[in-house]
Amino acid sequence: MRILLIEDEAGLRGQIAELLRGRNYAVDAIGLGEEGCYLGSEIDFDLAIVDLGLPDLGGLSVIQRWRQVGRRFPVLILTARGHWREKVEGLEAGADDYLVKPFHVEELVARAQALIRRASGLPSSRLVAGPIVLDTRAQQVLLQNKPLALTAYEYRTLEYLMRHAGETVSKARLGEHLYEDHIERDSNVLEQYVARLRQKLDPDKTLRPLTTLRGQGYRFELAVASE
Amino acid sequence: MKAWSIRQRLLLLLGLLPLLLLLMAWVLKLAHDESLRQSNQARLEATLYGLMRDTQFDRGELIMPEYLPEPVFNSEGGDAAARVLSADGRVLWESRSAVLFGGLPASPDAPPATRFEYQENLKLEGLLLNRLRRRVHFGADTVGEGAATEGMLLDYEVWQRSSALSTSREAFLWPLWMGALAVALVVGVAVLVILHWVSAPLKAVRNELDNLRQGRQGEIEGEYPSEIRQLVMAINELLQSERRQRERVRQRLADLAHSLKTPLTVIRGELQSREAPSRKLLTEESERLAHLVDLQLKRAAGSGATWKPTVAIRPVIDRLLGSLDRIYPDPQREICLQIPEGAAVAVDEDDLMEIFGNLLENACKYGGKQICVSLEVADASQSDQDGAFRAERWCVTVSDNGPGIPHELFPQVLERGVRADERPIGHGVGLAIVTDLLEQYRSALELAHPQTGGLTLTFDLPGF
Repeated sequence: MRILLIEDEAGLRGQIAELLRGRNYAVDAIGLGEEGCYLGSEIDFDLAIVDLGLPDLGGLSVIQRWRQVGRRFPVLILTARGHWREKVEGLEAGADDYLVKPFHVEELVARAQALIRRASGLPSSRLVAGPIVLDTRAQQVLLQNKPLALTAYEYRTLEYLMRHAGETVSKARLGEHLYEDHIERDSNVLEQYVARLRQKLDPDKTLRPLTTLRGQGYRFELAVASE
Repeated sequence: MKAWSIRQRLLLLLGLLPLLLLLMAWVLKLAHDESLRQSNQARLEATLYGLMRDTQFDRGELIMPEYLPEPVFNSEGGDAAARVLSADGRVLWESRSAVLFGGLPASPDAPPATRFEYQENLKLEGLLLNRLRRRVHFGADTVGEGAATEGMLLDYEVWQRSSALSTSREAFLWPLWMGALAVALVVGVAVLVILHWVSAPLKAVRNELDNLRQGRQGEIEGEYPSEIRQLVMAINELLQSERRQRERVRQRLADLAHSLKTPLTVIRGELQSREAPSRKLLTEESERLAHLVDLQLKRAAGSGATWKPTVAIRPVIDRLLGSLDRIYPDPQREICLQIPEGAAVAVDEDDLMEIFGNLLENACKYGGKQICVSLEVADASQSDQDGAFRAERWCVTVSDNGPGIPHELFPQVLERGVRADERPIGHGVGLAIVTDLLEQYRSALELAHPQTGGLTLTFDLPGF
C-alpha cells in the first residue's frame, strides 16, 4: 500500500512518514503542493494525506486537480483551524475525511487505515481468505491461527494482492504500490517476494493462493472476506 | 419620540394646503370687501355732493329738484333713497324712492358732523341699511331773505339697502371659492405625484437594504440621486471594509492556527515515540496548550460581525449532510428535514456551519439510523413580499435515535473539553463549542431524551 503525504512542515512530515513506514506502508513524503499534485496525478496511490495550509498550492486545489484528472484514491485532509467551512470545502473538493491539528499521530494512522479499507470495499481491519488472515491493525498475518513471519515488502505485497483479489495485478502496478518513488525497482525482486510468499502461505502446495499469469502479472485466487 | 417618516411629513403638508388656501381666499375676500366699501362710499359721496349742488333756497325756503340724476332715487322701487333734514330733525325733503322704506326711519343717533359719515349695516325697523350723511352749513347770503342771519344748518342723508352691496360681493365670492378649490385639487395631485417621485429612490434603497439583510445581494447597486448617492456609497464602503476586515482576521487566525498547531502535533508525536523522564509532564502540558490554543482561536473566530445578513438555512444543512455522508457513509441512514421554504436566520454563515456541523456530525457518528432536523416558528412571523417565510426567532430541533447521553452527564457534556465517554458512543466535544456559539445569539442548548429513545437537542436562532 502506497501513501502520498503532502505536508509543508518538515518535522510533522518526517514524523508521520516514519510512523506509516513502520506500519508497512510505502510513503512518498512531499513538502510542496505543486510537486505533490504532480505526483498524485501520475501515480495511482492507495491514499493521499494532504495538509490544507500549503504555502504554494493550496491543499484544496491539489485535491480538485486530482479529481479532475480522474484520480479516485481516498484523500485525508489535515486542517489547522478545524472550522466546518474548511472541512466542508475540503470534502466537497473531493476529500474523504479530515483530521484537525493537533492530532495524535496514532489517530492519523487509524484514519488512514480506515480509508484504505473503505476504498477497497473491505471495511473491516481483518481480511480473511480461508486459513489466511491478514490483520491490518496488528500488521500481522495468521495462517491456521498461527502468526506468520513476513518482511515488510512481503506483507505489502500480500495486502495489495488480497485487497484486489480476483484481479490480475501487473508487476508494474504492484511495484507502484509497494515502493516509494526514489527506490530503484527491480522486477526480479518482485518475483522473489511472490515466490517467498507462496512458500510461507502454502508450504505443502495445497492452497495455491497466488497464480502467476505469464507476461500479465499475479492474481490472488482465494475469495477474501472482511470480518 | 419616533421620528416622522418623510411620507408622513409630506402628507401633513398636503393636509395643511387646503387650510392655507382657505386663509388666502379669506384674505382676498377681506380685501375685496374693503375696496367694495370704499368705492361704494365714494359713489354715495358723489350723490351727496350732487344733492348739495342742487340745493336752492327761495326766500329762506329749501327747494330741491323733483328728480335726481341717478334713476335709482326717482323710482319707487329703488334700493336707495336720499333726504334732507333740518338741524332739529324735521324732514325737509325726500327723494321719490323713499316711499320704499315706508318713510325713512329717523336717525336714532346724534346729528352728523360737518364731514362725511359712512356706516354700513345699520339695523332699522327690520331693514339692513348703509348710510352716508353730512351736516352742511349754508351762509345767510346763500339762503336769502327772511332767513336767519346766521344762515341754515341742513343734514343730508343717503340711504342704501345693504343687500345691494352683498349681491355684488357674492358675485365675487363664488368664483373665488371655486377657484381656491380647483387650485387646492391641482396642488394636491401635484404634491402626491411629487411625493411619489421624491420618495421612489428612498423606497428603492430600503428594498435594497432588505435584500442586503437577507443576503440576496452583497452591496447597494442602484443608481441614486446625488443626495442619497453619498449615503449609499458610504454604506457600501463600510460593508466592504467590514468584509475585508473580517476576511483579514479570518486569514490571520488561520495562519496563527496553522503555525501553532503544526508544531504542537510534532511535539505530541515526539513525546509518544520517546522515553524521557519528564514525558508525562510534557504530554500533559502539550495537551493543555493544544486545548487552550483551540479554545482561544475558536472564541476569537466567533464572527462578531456588526452586519449579520440572514442566511438561508437549508443549503447550509444540505452541504453539511453531503460532506458528512462522505466521512460516515451509511446507506441505511435516514434523514428527515422539516425546514420551511426559504427559512433564513440572522446568524453568521460560519457560525451556522459550526453549530450544525458539530450537531450533525455527532448525530452521524453516534446517532444511529435516523436523523431529523426541524425548524418551527418560535415567535411572531410574517411572509415577506416574495412569500419567503420569516420568523422573529426559529425553534430548531435536531434529533437522532442513537444511544443518547445519560441524564447525569448532561451538564458535563455541555462543558467544553469534557467527553461523556472516550469511546464513540455518546455526544461529546462538539456540544461545548455549540453552547459557546449559541450564547452569542442569546440562545442555549437543551438536551432531552424522548420516549422513542435517542437524543433531542433544542435551541432557538434569531430570524431577522
